[in-house]
Amino acid sequence: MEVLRVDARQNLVREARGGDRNAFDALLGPLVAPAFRLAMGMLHDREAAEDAVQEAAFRAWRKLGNLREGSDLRPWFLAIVANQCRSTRRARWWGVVKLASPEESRRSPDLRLSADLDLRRAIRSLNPDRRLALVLHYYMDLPLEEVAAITNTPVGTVKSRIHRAVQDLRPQLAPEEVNS
Amino acid sequence: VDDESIRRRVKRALGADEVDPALRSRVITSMPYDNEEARPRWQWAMGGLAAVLAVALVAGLIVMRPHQQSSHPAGQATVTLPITTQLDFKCSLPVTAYNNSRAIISIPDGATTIEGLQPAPNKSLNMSTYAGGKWLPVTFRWLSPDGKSYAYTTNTTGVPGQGSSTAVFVHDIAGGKDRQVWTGDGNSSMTGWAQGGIYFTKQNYGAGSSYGSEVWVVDPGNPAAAHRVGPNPPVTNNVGPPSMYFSQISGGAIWGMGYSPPVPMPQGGSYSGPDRITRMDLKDGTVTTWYTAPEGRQVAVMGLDGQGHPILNVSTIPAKPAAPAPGATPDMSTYVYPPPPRVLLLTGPDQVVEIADGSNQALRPTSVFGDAHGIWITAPGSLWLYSKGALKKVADVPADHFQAPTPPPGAPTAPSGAYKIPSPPPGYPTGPYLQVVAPCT
Repeated sequence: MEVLRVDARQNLVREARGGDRNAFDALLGPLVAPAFRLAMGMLHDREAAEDAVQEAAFRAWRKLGNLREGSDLRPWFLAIVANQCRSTRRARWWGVVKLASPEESRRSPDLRLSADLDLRRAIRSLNPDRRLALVLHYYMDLPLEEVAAITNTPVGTVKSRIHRAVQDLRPQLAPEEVNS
Repeated sequence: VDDESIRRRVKRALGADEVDPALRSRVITSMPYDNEEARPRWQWAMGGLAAVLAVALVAGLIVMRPHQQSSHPAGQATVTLPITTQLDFKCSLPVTAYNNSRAIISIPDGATTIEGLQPAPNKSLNMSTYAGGKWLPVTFRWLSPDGKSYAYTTNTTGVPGQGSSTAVFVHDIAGGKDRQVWTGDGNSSMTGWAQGGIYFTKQNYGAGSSYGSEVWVVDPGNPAAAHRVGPNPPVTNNVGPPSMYFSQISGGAIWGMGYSPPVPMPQGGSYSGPDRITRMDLKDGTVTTWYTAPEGRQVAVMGLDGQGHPILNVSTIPAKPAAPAPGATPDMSTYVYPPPPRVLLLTGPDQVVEIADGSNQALRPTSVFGDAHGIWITAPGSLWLYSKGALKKVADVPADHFQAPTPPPGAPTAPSGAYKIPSPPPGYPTGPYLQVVAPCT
């Protein structure tokens, strides 16, 4: 049965390469929601996250020829999404404007005072590699092996990045642990 | 701090923003019709270089005529397309272009209001439709017959301990409310409305069941009667090549493109393009082949005419030069521009009406749309209409009126002097790619 599924997926890839959007939908459609979640976790902005997913899907559409036979589609696509998020965040003017947006404080004044917002800010300021590993593992519940596949790094490196991310976040994580 | 505490805190801090149900449809339908770049490695590189060439030509036009750009600060622009054929009727034609820009072209005078212009480059084509004075994030065929609502599907995966699940929703345009009309396992994609209700294709991935792409219908007024359409066993993709995909629905039938087993290529590898058009009757599920492409050609359903006949694009399978040795530079001097495709109207089994014979270099269609006036065809830099047995170019679409396509992200750029890129054949079109997305009303 697995052989059939793999064959079927190869058919879909082949047909999507030929420009068949239905085939592309069958391949990528189910991954749009997790891709959006990853983009939200990385960018913290709905519009930017939707744009990132859109652009990542376009890249995937164009890069289907590079997808190796038998390779898992989810880590391949989420890696493209992660790279797209990285590119988005490189637009420094955007980040500054968005992070300091007064609109955010008007929308949720209570949240700004909470420890959650402090933690959110701290996550935002993490080293990008550590933030990605943290988001994939803790926010998206992906196993370390899949995080390793998405980030194209050994599992040991993933563990190390997550450990360091948690170390960096310890000041923001600690208060609730004390209070609870 | 233990693992679960961290997990809980991170999730709470980052929130749980739900994905917009329409995002999937927006993403998938925004993919350009032509996916030439999605070829393996070296072939893809050559496609990219060809795209660079085309864009360079377009960019040249833009540089030469910057004074003709007229855009407003609010992301809107008003332009007039140069009319080449004076039509004897009046209507407004909705089109979309790159960078999510949308426009209404006034026929016959060519006055065009463009909106959604964005300063950022590299935005992909965002196909949508226009109904009741509104731009909608779905394709025209997903609209209900009365135009008051549209259908879409959602798919949910990755829930621990659960397989994939899918659902069909109907969105009320005026009220903005969504109503779930069907749910099941697997994944699905929307085909459109037709007699009997909403048709969608459903892919099953569940353990213990074979993979298959099935056609289903659900009547929003009687959701409990949702059922699979077609022969038993269903026409599925689990038999390997030959395989089939159903994409367009009209005239009591759903139309699919069939694929034969891959053909070995002289330079290695294999190739399989869609080579036949298949019709599945919605009443009795009969599947018949209505068109088979000649050898060396591939065929695709580009859209439907006003009566629901499929409009076919029959193109030459591109001759691919030999693959370079590993690490070697592709020899672009051997790149061959494919000839323009034939455009055919499929009116019956093995019965076609020729719309374009493939001899006009400028007519390389990017979209087709049939309505009461005829069949609108867009090509780079031009808009055409097939009506009463004649095909006429209606207007030019200058490069400086719409934002032009740019190379896909990550496309290779040619180092200066590294490649000898052949010139395109005389008349090879350049210019914006428009897409007609709704009838001219």
